[in-house]
Amino acid sequence: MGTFIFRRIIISLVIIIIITMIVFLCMRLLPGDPILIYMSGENLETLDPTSLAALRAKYGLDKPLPVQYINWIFNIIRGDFGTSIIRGQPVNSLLVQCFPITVHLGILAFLFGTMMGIFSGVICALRRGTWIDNVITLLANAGITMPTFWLGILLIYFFSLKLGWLPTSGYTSPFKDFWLSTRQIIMPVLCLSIGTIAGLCRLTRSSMLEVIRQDYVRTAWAKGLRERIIVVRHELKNGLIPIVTIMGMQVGMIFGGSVIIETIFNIPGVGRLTVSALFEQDYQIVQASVLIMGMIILLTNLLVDISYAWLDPRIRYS
Amino acid sequence: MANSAGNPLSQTGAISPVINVPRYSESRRILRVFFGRKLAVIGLAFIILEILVAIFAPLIAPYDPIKTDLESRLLQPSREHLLGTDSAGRDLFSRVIYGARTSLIIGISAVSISTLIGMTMGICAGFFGSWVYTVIMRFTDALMTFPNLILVLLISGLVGGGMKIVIFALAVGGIAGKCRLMCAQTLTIKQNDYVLAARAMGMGNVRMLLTQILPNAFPPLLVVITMQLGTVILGEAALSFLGVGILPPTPAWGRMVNEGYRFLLTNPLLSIAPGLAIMLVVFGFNMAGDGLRDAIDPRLRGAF
Repeated sequence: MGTFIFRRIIISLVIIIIITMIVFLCMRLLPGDPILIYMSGENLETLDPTSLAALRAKYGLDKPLPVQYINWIFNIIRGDFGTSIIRGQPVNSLLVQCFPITVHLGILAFLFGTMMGIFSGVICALRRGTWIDNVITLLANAGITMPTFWLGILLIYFFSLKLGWLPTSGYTSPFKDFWLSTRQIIMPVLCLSIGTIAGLCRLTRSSMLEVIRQDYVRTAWAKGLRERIIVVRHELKNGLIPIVTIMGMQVGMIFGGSVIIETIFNIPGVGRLTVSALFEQDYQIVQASVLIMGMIILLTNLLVDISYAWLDPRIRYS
Repeated sequence: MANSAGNPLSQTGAISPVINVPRYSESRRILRVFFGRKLAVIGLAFIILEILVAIFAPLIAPYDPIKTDLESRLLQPSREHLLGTDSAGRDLFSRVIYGARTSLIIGISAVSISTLIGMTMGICAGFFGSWVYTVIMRFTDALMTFPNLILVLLISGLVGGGMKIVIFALAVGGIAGKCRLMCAQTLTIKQNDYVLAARAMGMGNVRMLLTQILPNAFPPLLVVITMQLGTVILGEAALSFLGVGILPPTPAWGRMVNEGYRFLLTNPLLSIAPGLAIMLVVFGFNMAGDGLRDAIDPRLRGAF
């Protein structure tokens, strides 16, 4: 187990290095010169070569690519993500503002999605073939196919515009005004978690149906255990093992979804920051936020792999 | 994450190539299981409908989807305009019909490209092993770490949208999954006696890959391809919705949802109708993919 974890950590480190390279190359090789974009916002008359060169030197863009890359990496290790050329603000302070908001949304969506997904999946498996199974399965199938932005718009249409129950958009810190914050966050969290709910429901259902057929479950019934004990201790415990493997994917899905959800609901989180930075070609911000998201997902996957090996000892630690 | 422990495919050795059964009865069995599933058949019907609509769009659509008519802006649904008109006076029904074309072209091209690349990478990684495996799979791991949408956004956002860029971006997003599947498949197939026999007969690498490995590794990929068509169409819609996808005035469902969003209170259909179209098409591909998976190998359940 020890060597297994060590190996996984080493591999993750290698992947992090590859990720930084992909992100860096994506940002630099694709067309669009950040300095020119920055300057075009200014007065075009002042666009003389010397001031351009000075700006390039200021942001380290005059050095060859490998040197830029190494500088970037060493700055990140020191915890410095550089300065946004377009906004003129340090990227760190922008990220500190935005990340808690996305994390707040993301954690709520993750918890809600996981619980609802597993719960509905278990219900479906236990009541297989009944109307409740059919209804939930149909909803789950609809859930994985529905575009999140469209669901968001439908929710806004019904609950904000027609019924007037919830505010259409915005974000308030729960520490400032808890009630308003909760009302604002209900629809975004629902939208973010719908994919998780639907996906987990389908997976839990099929995984539970697999387990229910096993010999040890039949034995448990035969020796007269109560249904609750069988479901919780024998079926659920084994049925959830495959679910753990896709937890890492769920975190990725939530980050991806936050890009869209934050745009629709006008939430100043890291997803919206990334999108607007992309439009402005503010590469320092995009680099930093994509890298951090990637690292969080990588870390989750690492934890998932380790816990999976721990949950299911049949797996060889190879 | 690419270790064997986290991968349900390699853990159970789930995908076993069917060898002993004659080919015709196998395909007949697959068809029987597939058509025995109501949802799969409904899904297939949606797919066929979309293809027909895309091909015959000029015949079905009553108006030109691009021509603006400022006299008839934001009309409510009527007999002339079945779903009403948008803010530029274009007939919404015609635009939804032509949108099928856009989404299908993008879906098919992106999935073909990513299949070709992902399949080649996966088979090579599995077949040659050693450093080829390490390089390809670590690269795939890194690709998989990005949420798909972010990766696609990164590419198309920076280059600035347009159909070719969107196709390229979505194709890159689909490589990793296929590569890993084909790698796992190849690793299992490589151990079969017929591969050994072919080797003993002196078959070269290229011929071995094309005649022995590829045909046997392919069936599960078919499931992924079907499902991915849905995913790619969803991805294109999301990109267009964010404004980095298909450029106007080409009708794209995602952008239409976004454009209609401003008129939600007065003309809700502007957003709802194209969204519904996206959903039906994606539903079709997903359900057909589900049916295909159950028909080809039910043990793959949960793997995709």
